[in-house]
Amino acid sequence: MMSDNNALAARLAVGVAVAVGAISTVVWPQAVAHHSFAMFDSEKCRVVQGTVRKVQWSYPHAWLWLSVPDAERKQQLFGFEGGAPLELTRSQGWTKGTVKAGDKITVAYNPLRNTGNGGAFIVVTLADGKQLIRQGTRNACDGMPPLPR
Amino acid sequence: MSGVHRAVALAIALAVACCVLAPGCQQRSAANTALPDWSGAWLGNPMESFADFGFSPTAPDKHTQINPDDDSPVGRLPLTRAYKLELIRKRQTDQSMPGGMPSGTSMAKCIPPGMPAIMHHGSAIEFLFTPGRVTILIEDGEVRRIFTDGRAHPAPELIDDTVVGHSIGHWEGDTLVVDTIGMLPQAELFLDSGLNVTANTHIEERMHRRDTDTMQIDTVVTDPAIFTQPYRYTRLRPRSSQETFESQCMLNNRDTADGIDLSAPELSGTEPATPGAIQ
Repeated sequence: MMSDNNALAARLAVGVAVAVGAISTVVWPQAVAHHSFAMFDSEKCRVVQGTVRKVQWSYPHAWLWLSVPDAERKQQLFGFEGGAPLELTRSQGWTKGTVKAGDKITVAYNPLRNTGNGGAFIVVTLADGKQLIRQGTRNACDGMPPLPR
Repeated sequence: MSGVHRAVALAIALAVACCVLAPGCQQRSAANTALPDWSGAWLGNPMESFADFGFSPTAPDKHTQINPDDDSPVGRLPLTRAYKLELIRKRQTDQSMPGGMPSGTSMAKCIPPGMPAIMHHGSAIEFLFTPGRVTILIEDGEVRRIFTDGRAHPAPELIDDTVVGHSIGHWEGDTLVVDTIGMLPQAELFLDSGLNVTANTHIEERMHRRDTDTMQIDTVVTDPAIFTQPYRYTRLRPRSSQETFESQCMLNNRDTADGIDLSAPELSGTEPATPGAIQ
């Protein structure tokens, strides 16, 4: 399910405290990455739900590939770039098996500035509600709650 | 004494005798046991270095302004007029990238940053001590070989330049003093700065374990073409609770000159993705 943060906030307005952008945690900066992430718009946050098709636990950065149903219920493939595996492990304790193909997950991400289905993943919410947060400098996805399940 | 015990005693005696007769054996043993314990992975933090040259990795409009017509530093960098102009040119070039951020840098192309930039990187480093040499393994795959056997640098025309340069060192108590020259021109001064070293860049480092879990590295970089005076900085590297990782940048580098390669990998599962969905 695709949504932007405004739509998400509206959906969560009843009974849910939305704290978008309220948290700025600097533990392991994104700048450790090998490029600037300038191709992603850190001022915007979008959220999608879908099924993991592939996890590339790889360098320089990990990638998550997700099938996401569009408005016509057709599957769209999204690609999300994250930090280096060593960064994800050190900051959040991720391992290569934390997210697996077939998992139903929610991804809050900074979209690509150019066209394309994808972006930089910031918050990944697993089916059991556990959140994996890619910590870094202030980001529009900081504090983003998951979509209601 | 049993036969087995006699055989063991004889083997030990022979080993000791060999060491006594071979002076190098004794020296190496003494030297290695006298060295401090620097085991473990020591983390870096690039944010201090970004701050040093007034670079805001997520807010390009907050970059420190550069005035090439006076002696003011850029951040903490005492840059020469020529390098200020070079930095201005790099930033203007980078305006072609959304957000005005550096793109197409050496790092984005998986070219090793080299010295001194790699020591600003977030990659952890690991020290290995062997007789006459200290080796620094860096998680991005770069290796610094520091010769502590008393040799001098080769003559400049005899050095095969490398990204990490040629390093010699010596111990002053528990402090390792390192002198580095001979970097390739591709080696960067700072991560993502777009500024490179010259043939005359000289790096001096003093490394010591400040406490059990903190490595302190004091660095002085001199180069009259780059700096109006030596650029001095201190970095503290905390010891990681984890081992070092291997991070080979070329394995899945999707950076392109103007964005990201979103071509799909081989996918798992039976649920088909819409062909052409990926742009």
